[in-house]
Amino acid sequence: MTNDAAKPSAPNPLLVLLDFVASPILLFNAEGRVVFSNQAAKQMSCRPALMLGSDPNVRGLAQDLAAGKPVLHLDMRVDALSDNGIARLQCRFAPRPIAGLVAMGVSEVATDEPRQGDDGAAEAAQRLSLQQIMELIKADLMPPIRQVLAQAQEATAPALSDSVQTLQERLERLSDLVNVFGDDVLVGDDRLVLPDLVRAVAQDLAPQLRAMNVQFVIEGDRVDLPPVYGSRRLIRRALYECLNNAVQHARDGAPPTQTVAVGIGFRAAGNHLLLTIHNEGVLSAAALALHAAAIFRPAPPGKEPLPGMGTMRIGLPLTHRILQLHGGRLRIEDDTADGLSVMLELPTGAPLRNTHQLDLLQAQIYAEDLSKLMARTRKRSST
Amino acid sequence: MTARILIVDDQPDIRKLIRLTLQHLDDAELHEASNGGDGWRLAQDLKPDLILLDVMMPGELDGYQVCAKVKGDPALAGQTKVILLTARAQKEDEEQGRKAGADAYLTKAFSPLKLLDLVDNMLGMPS
Repeated sequence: MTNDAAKPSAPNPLLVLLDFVASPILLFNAEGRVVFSNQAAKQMSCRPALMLGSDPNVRGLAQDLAAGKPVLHLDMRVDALSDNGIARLQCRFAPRPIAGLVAMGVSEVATDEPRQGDDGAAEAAQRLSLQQIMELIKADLMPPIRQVLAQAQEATAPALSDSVQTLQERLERLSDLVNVFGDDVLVGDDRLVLPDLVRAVAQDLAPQLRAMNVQFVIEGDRVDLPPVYGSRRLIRRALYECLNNAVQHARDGAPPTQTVAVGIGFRAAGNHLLLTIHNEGVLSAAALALHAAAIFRPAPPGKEPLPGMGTMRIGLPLTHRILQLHGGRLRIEDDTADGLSVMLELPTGAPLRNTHQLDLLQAQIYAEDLSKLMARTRKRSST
Repeated sequence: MTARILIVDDQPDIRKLIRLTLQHLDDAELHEASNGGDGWRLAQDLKPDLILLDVMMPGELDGYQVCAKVKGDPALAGQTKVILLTARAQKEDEEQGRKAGADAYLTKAFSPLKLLDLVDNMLGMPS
């Protein structure tokens, strides 16, 4: 629901007053939907009305408060995508509804977009707290669980099977999430040829591509592209999250019968490999402007993703973290004319290694063979 | 006849160790590079008889790629032997090395005697 839909014909004094308040404020109705955001909230780059209005935890809490139910906490932190990266929002609900509406104050406490020369601080800011991870887990897991329960009650076996598969995929995703945000992450040193991994992920996504009439268009897939080293599982996960989400939004604004394309490009740049994902079209300029930030945003309210296609609520920090662990980064470039491009940048070749242990072993073996080596040299000299 | 040997490894200690070992050869001219890109450029200039090539190196080219370039270059393929050096000893890694055209594969941490035998063998020298 938009602000316009909720606006009364005559100016509501409460809303007029809230517009003059310097702090960002949102009002939720009994269904947990945002029906008003004041001027301060509208000026925030992360568009809190959209981001918080589609967050199931926020909506659930708003519904409980509107219904007069007791709640344990009035505060929550929510990560939202802003023009500058991830905005960490501190949200505080008013304890009681006013005229059937629940008010929420919003403030931005941090952003985790890396800044030049401030890598350490950016890395610290990117780490989610356990509570935030748990909130993400709940938000991600609850929709398919509810789906399974509802279908189990109706005993429709094929649909139940799909839902269980979705649930399984979500659990694997959560497992990766927990793994990459742990204290002792093992990245591995698999040799990865990125185009091969992309093709494997495209194979995984084939049912979704067929169902949505979307095609991948791969460019720059040359045999001499440098490899990257790292965890096959995690890089594949990051690629899956990005491509899956691009597919999910590929049809935004497109005519229903027309095939739309998601472009995937590879480019070597110095000691880095760039992978670009871009929704190619068929979008009008107006639709582009409307959907410019669609990739990596949660699906709009009421738009259920296809089975197996989660939103990027978890995917964004997960992808960020995976790339960070591999010495790379994620960039999102929003060009109104060309739409939105997601760029994954990874260093090529092996990471700088901590091989102290290997060196010790090597030195030990060398020392053991040194006398034999000297003896051989003496023998050679004498002949 | 002097054998020209190029050592390509990003770890200075390993390069030093190989150099110490190969000093026991009768007649060898040793050169070094610390990454794949420099290794490939040096190989084109020097046209070495043998390259000892680390697999996992940071930068634009890893060992497999340098090896494939050497073996795909008509000026080098006939005369330059390649020994891949790696800390990874899985079958698929050896298979990857064979695909790149490597003549031999030596797993780190290696015995200097084994390295010397292998180099002798590659250069056709008596051990």
